[in-house]
Amino acid sequence: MRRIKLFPVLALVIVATLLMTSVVYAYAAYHGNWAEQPYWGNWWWYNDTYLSWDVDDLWTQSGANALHSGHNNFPWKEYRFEQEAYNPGAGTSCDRLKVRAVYAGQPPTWNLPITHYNVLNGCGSSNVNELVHLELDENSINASVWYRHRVTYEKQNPGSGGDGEVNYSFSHNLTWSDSWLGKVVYDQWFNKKYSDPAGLVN
Amino acid sequence: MKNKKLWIGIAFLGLTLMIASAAILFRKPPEVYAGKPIFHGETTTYRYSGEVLEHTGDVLVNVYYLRGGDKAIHAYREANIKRSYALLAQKDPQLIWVQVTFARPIPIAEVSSLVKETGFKVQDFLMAGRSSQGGRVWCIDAIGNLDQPVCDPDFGDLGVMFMQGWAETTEWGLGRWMADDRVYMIDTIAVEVSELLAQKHADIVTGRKIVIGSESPFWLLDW
Repeated sequence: MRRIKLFPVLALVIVATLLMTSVVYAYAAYHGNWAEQPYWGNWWWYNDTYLSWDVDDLWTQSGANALHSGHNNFPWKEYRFEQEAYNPGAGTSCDRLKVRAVYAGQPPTWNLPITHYNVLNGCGSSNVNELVHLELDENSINASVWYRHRVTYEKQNPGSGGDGEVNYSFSHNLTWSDSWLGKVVYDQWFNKKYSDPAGLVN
Repeated sequence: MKNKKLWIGIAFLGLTLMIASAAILFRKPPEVYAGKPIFHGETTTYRYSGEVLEHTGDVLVNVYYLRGGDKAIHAYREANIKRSYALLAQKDPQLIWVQVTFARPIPIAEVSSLVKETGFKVQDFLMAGRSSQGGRVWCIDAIGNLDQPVCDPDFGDLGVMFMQGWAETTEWGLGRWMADDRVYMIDTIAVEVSELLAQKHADIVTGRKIVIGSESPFWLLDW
């Protein structure tokens, strides 16, 4: 008798927990297969006066170990994130978003440790810098904690240009390639449409 | 039976040789075996890595400290002081790209005054400090206007920790920055790296815009 009543209650609790988790934390496993890259990503997209793109990264223990090892052993790689407010493969979606500021350390997430940064022109007009490189302080990165940073952009010519996209990659100084982690596709008004991998963006 | 053992032995030897060759190959910097537009180098006080950005053709060069922790940073800092004095001693002043790392977060009004007094041209700057919960926070102001900062003041108690821009190699310009005890390091590496690139990597950099970024020890300082 008791077993019959318990089952629906238990099912309801499980469903409610899953729903809450999906709303609060819609994280996804990143694309890319570098051992040193963060495994999980959790993004937030705020289309207001300025566009804010928050990125939470989490390394697994093996990922953090590989990151430390790659940095501390020959040939001493210097790892970085490449946050590209355009399509880096095709060189499209240029001049849509201009970097205004980059923040890190909003509680309850951890402050992304960096040694320096570059704000660059990724493509198109040299007056619009849409590319941010964040050079990591590898030894300060720990496993199983979320590191958040936010890039805010000035929106250029809203209402024109159709869909655009932003991309996120992981790379280091000794390679011409990178590990593509994911992207968000947005519409002409900078509203998010979808992410790849699915479920990455809140 | 004997033949089988022989073939297994040969296969094992072949596999070992392949693994050894791959290990040797991949321990070398990639540009050694590929004609891609990236390059690296090392001097007595720093390493540098450069790449041609795909869609603009600009050359991005990053400068890193040598291995060795505080000792390496100290040597890098000393080399900068020496280079800055040499630049000041030159007859014709020039506008050079520099990175300023402050010893601690400095109120933005103070930095703004110093910038105006020295004719410094700001490219961008990083503010650092503590959040209301006491944790470390930082914010890069990519617009670079000290009088109208874009970093949200509600984000934390922030001061300027790191700044990039152009200074004139005069006593009232670079000299003032060098003499200011709020400054931990004024990094003039861009001057040296530009010359180095022209000498060693002219085939890649000639005719291209060069963007230089250098590590800052701000993360290790007290804030």
